[in-house]
Amino acid sequence: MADFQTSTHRAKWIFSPQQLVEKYRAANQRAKQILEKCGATLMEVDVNGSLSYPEPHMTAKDSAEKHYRTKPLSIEEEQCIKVFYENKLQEVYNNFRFPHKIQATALIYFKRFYLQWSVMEHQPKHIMLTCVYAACKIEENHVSAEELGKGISQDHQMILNNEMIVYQSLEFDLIVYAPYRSVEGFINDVEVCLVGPDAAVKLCLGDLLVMGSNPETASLHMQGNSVMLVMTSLKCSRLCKRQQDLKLIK
Amino acid sequence: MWNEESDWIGSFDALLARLAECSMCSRRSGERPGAAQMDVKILDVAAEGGYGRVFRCLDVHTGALVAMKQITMVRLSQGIPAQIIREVSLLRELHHANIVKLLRVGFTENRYVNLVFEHLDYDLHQFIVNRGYPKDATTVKSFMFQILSAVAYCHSRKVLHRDLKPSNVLINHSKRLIKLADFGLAREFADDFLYTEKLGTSWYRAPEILCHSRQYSTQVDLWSVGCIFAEMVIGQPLFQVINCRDELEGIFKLLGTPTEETWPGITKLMPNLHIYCSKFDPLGLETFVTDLEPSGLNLLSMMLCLDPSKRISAEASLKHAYFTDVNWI
Repeated sequence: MADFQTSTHRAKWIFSPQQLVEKYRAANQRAKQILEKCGATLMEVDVNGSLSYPEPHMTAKDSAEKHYRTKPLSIEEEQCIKVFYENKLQEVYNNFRFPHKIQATALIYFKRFYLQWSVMEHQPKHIMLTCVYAACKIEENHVSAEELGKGISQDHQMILNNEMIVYQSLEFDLIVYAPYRSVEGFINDVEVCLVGPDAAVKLCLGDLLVMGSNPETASLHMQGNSVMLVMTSLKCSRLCKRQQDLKLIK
Repeated sequence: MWNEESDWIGSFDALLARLAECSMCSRRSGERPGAAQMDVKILDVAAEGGYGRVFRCLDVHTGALVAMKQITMVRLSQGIPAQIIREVSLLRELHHANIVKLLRVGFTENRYVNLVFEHLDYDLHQFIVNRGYPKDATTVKSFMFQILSAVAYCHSRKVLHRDLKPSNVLINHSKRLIKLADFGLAREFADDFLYTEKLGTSWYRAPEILCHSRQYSTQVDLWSVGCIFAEMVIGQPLFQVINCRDELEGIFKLLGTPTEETWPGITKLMPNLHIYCSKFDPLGLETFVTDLEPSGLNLLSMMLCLDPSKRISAEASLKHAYFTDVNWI
């Protein structure tokens, strides 16, 4: 889609850092309440797409035992798990050699999904793979669920079971913007200018993809282009420094 | 350094273990997401097709008429059909007076996807067949202008419709308002993409697609609009009128068999062209499309141009002399 200005991406999915914190807190709080009430939080999706929820405690003894055993995750711990799976998502891409556009789309889906839910409610590994599958569909890079499951030794049915909840959590706003083609060209130019075509120093597009030091929030409160510009300038400044160091050594 | 790393890995494993603990519990069944009430009351079946059915419904909240497209999920092995995902995601982004509004999406059981749209009275195909087609030039001009406005908007948003035909053009009778529908075959386009050739309804399919080209662009939609234009004037599909064995032969009979001069690249695209059909001299559009003013015929000939690179764009069509008196829009 050419027009970012009128897109759902811009209208609905860019937040201030404060708004993001509130959303994460709300999801985390809800999961904690379910944990207190039921002793567990994870929802499961069965073969026909139905959700099943944790049962509330029958007795005070059950509650006490379960409460003793399960300690809820903090917001920071949740972020840590999300970043872990965002990096795992890159591994899936490397295995399948998908184009960057699909990688970017899946990553944005994953981030958006966990604006609504806590990782304690929906298994991030399953959601991550479902986001990959959804991104392949929307970007018309047809990969069957079976193929995807086989490629990473996972049950493909789990991908299909979660598909509906992912689309609904994303509110069907599935067209997303990520300026990878232009950035890739820009990076190539920078590499040639700074260190020559044969140099060992390579800018890693994967690093750009996970959005550097603040991977969780960057793509949600900055426009894609801004994220890329910030990250690329960081990379360039490092390259320039490296170039100066090389000159000094010589 | 090694100890620090192993400590970190150990603590992260503990974190994942705690996450796993969250799922250890008995469960009760719940609803399928989106299976909740669609908030519509079905009145009757408006249409049926290969995808499923379209119901005329009443929105229980607003009392307004809506159309619910219920799509059967046949190949459950691939989850929700990509065609539905494509249609829904594009309609979420396209906002134009001449494009149908998608109001909401829902799911019933595990077999149907329900798309709820604003209601329109009938489609252009029904209008042409049942109402003796738009005989007055003003209606044809108005409808054409609205169709082209919607197509130009889609193209400006880098979207090809790829299945334009009278049954996908909906009409609000009282306002004489046109809305494009059915974006199930639509897709975003880029300069370097290869697309599928198996799409569109054959009478409205551009010659480059019929010649099995997989590199095409916005021009395919303009060809379809040209076919719709002709159909509004003559009251039946243009290439159905011409007696021929298939659509491509019909096109060549009407517009002449292309050569490298008239359509550069055709011999590469269709090396067996001379074997496939005899060399036809063009019969000319005016032979079949008789009741159209000269400027309209000129616009039609620019839309039904064999060489896609010379075919007029939607944006340019809107500025054509045919629409100089469109102060009634």
